[in-house]
Order: sequence, then structure tokens, then C-alpha cells
Amino acid sequence: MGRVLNSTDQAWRDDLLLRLRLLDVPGARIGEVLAEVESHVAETGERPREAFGTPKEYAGQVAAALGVTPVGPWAQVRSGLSWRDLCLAVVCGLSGYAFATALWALGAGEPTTVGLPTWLVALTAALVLGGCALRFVLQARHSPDADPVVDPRDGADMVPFGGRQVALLVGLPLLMLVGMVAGGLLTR
Amino acid sequence: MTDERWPGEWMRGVLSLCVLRVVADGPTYGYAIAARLGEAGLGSVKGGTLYPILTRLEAEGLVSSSWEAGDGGPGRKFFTLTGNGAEALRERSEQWQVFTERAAGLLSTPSLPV
Repeated sequence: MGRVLNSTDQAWRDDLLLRLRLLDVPGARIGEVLAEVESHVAETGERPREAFGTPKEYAGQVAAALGVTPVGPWAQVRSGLSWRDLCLAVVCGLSGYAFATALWALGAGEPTTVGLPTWLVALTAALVLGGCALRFVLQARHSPDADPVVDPRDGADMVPFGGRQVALLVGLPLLMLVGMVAGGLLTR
Repeated sequence: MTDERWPGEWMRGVLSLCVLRVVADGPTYGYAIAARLGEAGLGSVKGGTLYPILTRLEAEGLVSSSWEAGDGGPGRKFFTLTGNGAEALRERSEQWQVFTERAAGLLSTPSLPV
């Protein structure tokens, strides 16, 4: 597949994608729109911005052409949230805090944390945290209302969850946890 | 009159019918449709105007579309007139004919002296 977009055009495309999502345009249709833009600018040599206007304007025109009326952002957030997700987020936060505290204590060489053996707190928190993370990943992958942006030309996911995103999602928390151990070690 | 810029409201009124007419000549894609409209003297039609029209025509079932791979390029989306599209084109073209004749008739009447 020819990639004809430079970084400015890529930003334009990403913005359009986001705005179409916000207007509740179905994923398959977003794929069509993105492919049309790509095909058109490759043919004419125009920049997406000069051929299609701003992403906001164009997304509005596409939504109007499809007769899609967006649900307000608040209604969307409310309908997407369940008590189970909220509880999971709280458990995730608490176990993250406990894990970080225990790692700091391990680094500092303290045998107990909040009155319990440090290794036990660290292990329990790590297990709970791992479970929560696994649940989030599975939920995101198999969500029934996942509406992927599919390329109409080859059926590929146009917004792939790539190596960089995974590296960031895994690497950043890992870096922070290593930081906690290092911080603890420094207090010795 | 060359390279015209027609009033936007006129274009909005007739463009979708003209696009339908261009597609009636056989399967064609966005850029070629824009070029054909330009040749016909309707001015340059931007992608941002053209594709929402095609989207609407497709949603109404008047055209259908399919992607074809390009030579190393990102491919082309070809639009084809459907049976309903042919019917709609015939009806609306006749109506448009009557409408423009009436409008032209009125506009060519000499105005009364003030």
C-alpha cells in the first residue's frame, strides 16, 4: 500500500479520524473516508487540507452526508461506563499504590510495610495489578462494541495497536516501578 | 466564460445530479469525475465537496462502489450507477430541464421601465 502522506498530512488524517469518531461515524465508513482521501491526494498531488478543508469541516460534511447525528460526549461517557469498570479502576489504583510502596520499602530494606511483610505486600499487589491489566487488555480486545476502522481495500485495521503503543503502555509503568526500587535504595 | 466560479448555491443544487450523470457513462472514480465536471465547464470541484456527494448518492442506493488496486498507489474507488440511480437520473434531469427553462424564461423577460 503506497504511503503518500507526510507528517503534516498524517496529523490531518489523525485529526479527521478522531473527529469522525467523535461524530459517531461507523468504523467501516471512517475507513472508506480515509482511503478516499489517500487515493484522491495521491491522484491530484494536492495536500489533504487544500482538497478537503479542515478535518473539522470535512468530518462535519461526511456526517451530514450520512445523516449521522452524534450523541453528546457526556451521554457517550455515561453509557460507556459501568460500575464494574469503576471498581476495577479503583482496585487497579490501590494495588498500584501498594505495589509502588512495597517496592520502595524493598529498595530501602524495610522488612515490613503497613504492618505486613514487605515481600507479601509486593507479591499480592503485583498479582492483583497483573490481573487488572490482563482484564483491561482482554476487554479492549474482545469488546462487542469495538468498531475498528477497517481499510476497505485490504480489510486491515487502519488504527493498529502497534509496537510503539505497547512499548509505551508497558514500558512507562515498568520504568516507574524500577524508579521506586531505585528511590528506596537511595534512602539506605 | 472560462474557468468559472459559479455561485455556491447553484452548485449545491445541481452538482449531485451532474455527478450522477457522469457516473452514468460507466464506472469511474473521484478524480476522473472531478475532471469531467471541470471539462463540462462547471469549474473545479474539490474533493471535500465531491466525496460527500458520492457518499450521499451511495447511501441513497443510486450508485454502488468498489475498490480497485492501483499500480503501487493507494488504489481507486470506482462508482457505478445502479438501476435506481438510472431512474433517478432520468426523472431529475427532466425536472431540471423544465426548471431551468422556466427560470430562463422569467429572467429573459424585459423588465418594466421604472
